[in-house]
Amino acid sequence: MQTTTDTEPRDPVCGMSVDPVRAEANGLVAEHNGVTYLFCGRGCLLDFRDDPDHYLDPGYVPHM
Amino acid sequence: MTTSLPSAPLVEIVLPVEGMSCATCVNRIERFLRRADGVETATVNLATERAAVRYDPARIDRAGIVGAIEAAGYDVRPDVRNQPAGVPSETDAAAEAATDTARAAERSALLRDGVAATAVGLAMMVATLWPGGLPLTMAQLNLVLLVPAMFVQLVLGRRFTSRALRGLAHGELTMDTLVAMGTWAAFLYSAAIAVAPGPATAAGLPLDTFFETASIIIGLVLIGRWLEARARSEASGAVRRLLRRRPTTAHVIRDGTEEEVALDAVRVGDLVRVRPGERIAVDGAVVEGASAVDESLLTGEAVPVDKAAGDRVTGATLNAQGVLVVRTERIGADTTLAQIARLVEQAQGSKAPIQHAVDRVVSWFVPAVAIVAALTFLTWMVFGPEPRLPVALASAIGVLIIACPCAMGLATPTALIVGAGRGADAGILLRDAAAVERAATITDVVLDKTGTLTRGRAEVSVVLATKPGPDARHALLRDAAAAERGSEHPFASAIVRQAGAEGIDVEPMVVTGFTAVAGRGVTADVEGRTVLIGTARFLAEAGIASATAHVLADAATNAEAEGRTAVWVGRDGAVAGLIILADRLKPSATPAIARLERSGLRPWLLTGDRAAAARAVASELGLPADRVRAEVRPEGKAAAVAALQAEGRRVAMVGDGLNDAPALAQADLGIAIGTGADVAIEASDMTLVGDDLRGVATGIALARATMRIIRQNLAWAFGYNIILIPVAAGILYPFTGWTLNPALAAGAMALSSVSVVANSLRLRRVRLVTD
Repeated sequence: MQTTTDTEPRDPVCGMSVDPVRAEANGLVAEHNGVTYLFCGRGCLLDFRDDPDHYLDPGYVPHM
Repeated sequence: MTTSLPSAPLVEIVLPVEGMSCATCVNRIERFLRRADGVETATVNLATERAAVRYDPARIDRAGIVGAIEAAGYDVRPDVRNQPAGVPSETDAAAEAATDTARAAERSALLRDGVAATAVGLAMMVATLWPGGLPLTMAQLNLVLLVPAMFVQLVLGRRFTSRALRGLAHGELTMDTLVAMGTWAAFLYSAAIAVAPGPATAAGLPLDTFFETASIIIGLVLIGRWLEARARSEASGAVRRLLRRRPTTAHVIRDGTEEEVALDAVRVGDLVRVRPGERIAVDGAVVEGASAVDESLLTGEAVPVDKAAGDRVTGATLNAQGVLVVRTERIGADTTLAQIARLVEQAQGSKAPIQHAVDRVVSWFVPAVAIVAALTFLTWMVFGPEPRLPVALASAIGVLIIACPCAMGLATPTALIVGAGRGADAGILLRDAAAVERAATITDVVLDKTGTLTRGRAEVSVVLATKPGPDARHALLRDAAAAERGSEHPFASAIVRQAGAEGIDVEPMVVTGFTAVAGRGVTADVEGRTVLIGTARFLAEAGIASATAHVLADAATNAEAEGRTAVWVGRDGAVAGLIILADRLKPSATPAIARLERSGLRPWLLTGDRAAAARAVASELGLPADRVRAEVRPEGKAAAVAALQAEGRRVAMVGDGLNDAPALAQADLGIAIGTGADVAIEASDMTLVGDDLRGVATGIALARATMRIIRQNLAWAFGYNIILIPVAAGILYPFTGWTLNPALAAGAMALSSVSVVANSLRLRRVRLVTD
């Protein structure tokens, strides 16, 4: 069996998968360096806005 | 964080927080709160949307705390209910015991009053139906009966009157309303006939009284209440009982001497000594001694856990063997047990109260009866023969009397009791009537993976030797088991267990030089062979040719993608093989999912596993991938259940562990596995006594069947009386002269009661599930 690639968008902060429709509807969206990120909730969005580079660093491991 | 300086006592408040959606929100608010000067501790709960903050009132006030939460980007709901100042010691064992005693007293009062009222009613029925048996005229007999009837109505039946009045004040029509209406109509009418028979005689009406009808209705409804209270009492009061497991005193060591102090007086930092057989009083860390602690209260795991210096212990768990000295870290409301109990209580309290089936019927039946009675009165007044007023009054009152079915009070409890008996035979316990009603409406069932669908511990699933053939496999397992014999690691015990299950005896083998590298693996010398067991990297570091390039590497990769664990075994400098460990599904898991689907319920898998691993489990269970909620952290379980509920689903949650308790309480129906943690069982509405998950579908089917029987019972109970309403209204009077009389009322009571009980007994045989 091959590891399946996940096509669903992920919250960069907590690593949960995000329903894009719901995220857009609730304004859980942030743009950074031209890339749009979706979030599961306000906590993640606000944390991301405070320090986007921290969460986009490849060494950052999402956790809750 | 603690200072030795004496300071003002800390104050705790609990604030309702709006707008949280996941654990990151929790972390963020906690971070902002802890950063605020004067805040000692902050605990934010996602499921209950509460922030519990303990602070020094000299340095920060409520406004400052609200400000910190707002700075984090969230709102505090305005309807704040401050907890009283001071750190609350959250239970008072004496008060609880008093409540329990009061409940038991109330239950026995129900039975006593019910039996008394029924007996009085039956005696009066005999007296009225055979009036020749007593040397009294009808008028005299009525006066005699007035005395016991008044006693029943005013003393034994007082509950109905007061509850009906209270309900009316809130605009609620319940069974109490109907009982009060019917019995008071019967009593007042009969009392009027007894005291002043003149007008009735003048109008040519029979001097019939309905004292016995009123008494028997009161009696049977009280007995029904008793049956229901008895069925419920064994399962309720769970959270309080849970907290009672905590000891009330602790042996605190102060200045080198040990003294027994009340638990309330224990402070953070105190050293507490725990003797064998005692429950640990506080949450803390072991500083001295070694023992095994029975943590089944929290984890459901029956095997005691070894504890030595540095290990954490949890209050209310049982110290099985040695003496421990524990440094207190959390007390009172902060302890794990208190927090869980609070969470469970909050989640249970937030459940919408169920309107009982009988009250749903009554809420439209009472107004309907009132209208019919009014119409009856008007019709007789307008069209009736003279004297109009007495006949109209008698007919309208007759409608009110007959409208109250005495079997109504038996409809729910008899079905519940027979259903509970049926459930007990199948190993299914339902907490109370509300649990049955909720279970019957469930549409979706969320099953926690680890420990619920799986055994909750690692087991060997595949042994792959580099060389082909059964001998190589046997030798691999034998050497691995021998090397792991001395290890405490769960993987080691799984390998040793597997060897034992295959009849391999490793005891006589000579093993020397055992060393373990935490998180990596172990090495040992097994009868002269150097055996290494661990990760690919562990073997590589020992110079064993790169395990990742090995012929078995694909098997290892695949296993890990499915959420299983691959352990490499090296022997004498080469890779000997691979042991794949997994937390295996219980044998009943897959059939249980199939049975749920067949019962028209949607099963969901809830797990902390990564999505790919979760999908592998789902496919083994026969679950579609879109019914998997993966990567859910333990604290997110309740929120995951709430999310499904927000989609309009009626959700049952099946879980077994401490961290399932809030989700069990959040769900419309919490189902605990009987082998699981006591906490989970306490938080649930339904418990499966055994380990057989098929009981989930069976239990819900039983609840549905019970509700069906209850509805039929209500039809039987009300049916006879509804048929008699036109008779009471006098529809036959112009033709036959018949109106409501005590014999008809007695016949309706007897028939409806027998029908209800007989119908409830059908629940013993009804078919629940098809396999």
